[in-house]
Amino acid sequence: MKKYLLAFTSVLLFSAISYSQTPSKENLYTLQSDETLAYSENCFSFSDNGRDIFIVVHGNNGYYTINNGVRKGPFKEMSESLLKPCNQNNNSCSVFEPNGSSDGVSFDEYLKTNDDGTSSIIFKGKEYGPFMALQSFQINSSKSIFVASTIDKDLSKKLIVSNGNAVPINGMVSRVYFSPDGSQYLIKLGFDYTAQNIDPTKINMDQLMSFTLVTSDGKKFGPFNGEKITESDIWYTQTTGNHWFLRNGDDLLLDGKPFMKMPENANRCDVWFSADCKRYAVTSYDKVKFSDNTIVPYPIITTLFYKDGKAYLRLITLENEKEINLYTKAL
Amino acid sequence: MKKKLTYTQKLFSEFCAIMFLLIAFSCINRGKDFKDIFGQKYLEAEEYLDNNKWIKDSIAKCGVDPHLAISVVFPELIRYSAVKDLVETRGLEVLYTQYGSEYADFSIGRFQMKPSFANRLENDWNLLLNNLPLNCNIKPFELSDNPEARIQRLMRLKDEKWQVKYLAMFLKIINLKHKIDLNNISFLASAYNSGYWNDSIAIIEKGKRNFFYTGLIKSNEVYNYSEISEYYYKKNCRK
Repeated sequence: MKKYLLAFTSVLLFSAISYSQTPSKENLYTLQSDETLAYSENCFSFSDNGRDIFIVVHGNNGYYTINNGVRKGPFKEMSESLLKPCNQNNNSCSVFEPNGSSDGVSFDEYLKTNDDGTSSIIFKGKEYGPFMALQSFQINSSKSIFVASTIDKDLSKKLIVSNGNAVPINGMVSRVYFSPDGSQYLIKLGFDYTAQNIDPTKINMDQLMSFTLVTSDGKKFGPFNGEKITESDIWYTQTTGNHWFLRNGDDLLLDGKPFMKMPENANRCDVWFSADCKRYAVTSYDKVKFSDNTIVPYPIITTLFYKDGKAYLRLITLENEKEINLYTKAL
Repeated sequence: MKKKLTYTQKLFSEFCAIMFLLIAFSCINRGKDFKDIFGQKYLEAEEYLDNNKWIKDSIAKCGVDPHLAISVVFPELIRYSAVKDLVETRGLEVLYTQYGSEYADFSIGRFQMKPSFANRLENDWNLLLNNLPLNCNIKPFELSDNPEARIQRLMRLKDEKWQVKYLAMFLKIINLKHKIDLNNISFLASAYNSGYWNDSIAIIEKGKRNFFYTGLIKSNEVYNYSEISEYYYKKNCRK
């Protein structure tokens, strides 16, 4: 028994050590004694791979630009032409957001109205329908999959998917979340105001606000309280493939099951999981803390990058008010 | 008697007519047409206020004239519309947390408030709290200069409800500090833009200068902040 225990502990220790590596550290630039980072309303421009660096500093004689270690200046005044465009770095948030904040795509490109007033969907040359009415239509970011909710002539409602699936539904589709590769999706079904046989006198607020979730493989979760859990409390991340998260107050659910407490003061963008969801890092103003207790203090920029299929966080810090350092650690 | 009454009535109606013209004239904007100059950005700022009526209600609850308060920050709403997609402040927020406002002081949110501005308001609020008839349920602030206090300040500055509270605090504090006519929109706007902690002469002087711009970096196209506030105030004075 002792042997087994020892072996089990060794395996645990080994796996812990193999992931609790200290982050690698590299100095990108050291500010000269008269230099400070020029911060007035500008942002720092670092490329997604975290190695190319473009910053503006202010020294005794004016402004300088530093592009990958090459210092130019002094410039008496900053002008827009001197600056690199400061792209919004989508990688600084762990959440997968396919098209900014919205998944919505215009109907028009895919919808056909037939002579008899019915509607059909034309997708990749294939026709789906006809349907008496089309209630919603959503498509993944690579435009390879669509999910539509339809009403048939017998007033029954169905979910139509581009793979040919047609699933009866009981509710109104309010949002479809697609996983990063678009192969999986999660449908939020709210109260159906258009359903037959509704007695308004018997409907209460809880019913109106509640919703259920249906996964692409047909599993149902809920009902959930829609006042407490909003659309932004459900998400896929950039690093966890088809796993989805739901925040219910302080509780974080993984694939619909209780998982862990939401780290204190963290919002959904701040929690970065490894692909298997076993390890994570939480970013905040004063540090990035990894689940193996490694801490990198004061990350100015946090970016995600992949190497050999593995996700890494790259963190840029300003230490001792002069050293701009780059830390890299696997998730 | 009848004649006398008629004369009085005539005088009164003339007085009313003059008053009407005066009021109407004060609501007509002379000079630059900022709505035309800023175009879509101006409209977005107006739309934001239309969609967020709670802002005026919250300001009024603090005993501050909401129309006046909104006019003071209206140029900042225009600027926010122009730069909101260009500015990524996370790095600056971290630097502020780490090293304080001497290292990183930058504009946050719709009203473009800086951490140093919020810090001064909090200091003054704590000092003047007992002299304020309405305190908007804002308790004294923790004023320590450490990362934890700075994080708390940043979180307040990023919260729209707190931005409105800071705005109401500004108007209450400036009234006590400078004992000015609260309808002096030009002075209030200049104080908001250039630093209410400066003396009155400096605020008036700075109010005459043009250094408001809507880009990330100051360009040749600069405007007078106070004039924009006054323009908005007059344009909306009957709403």
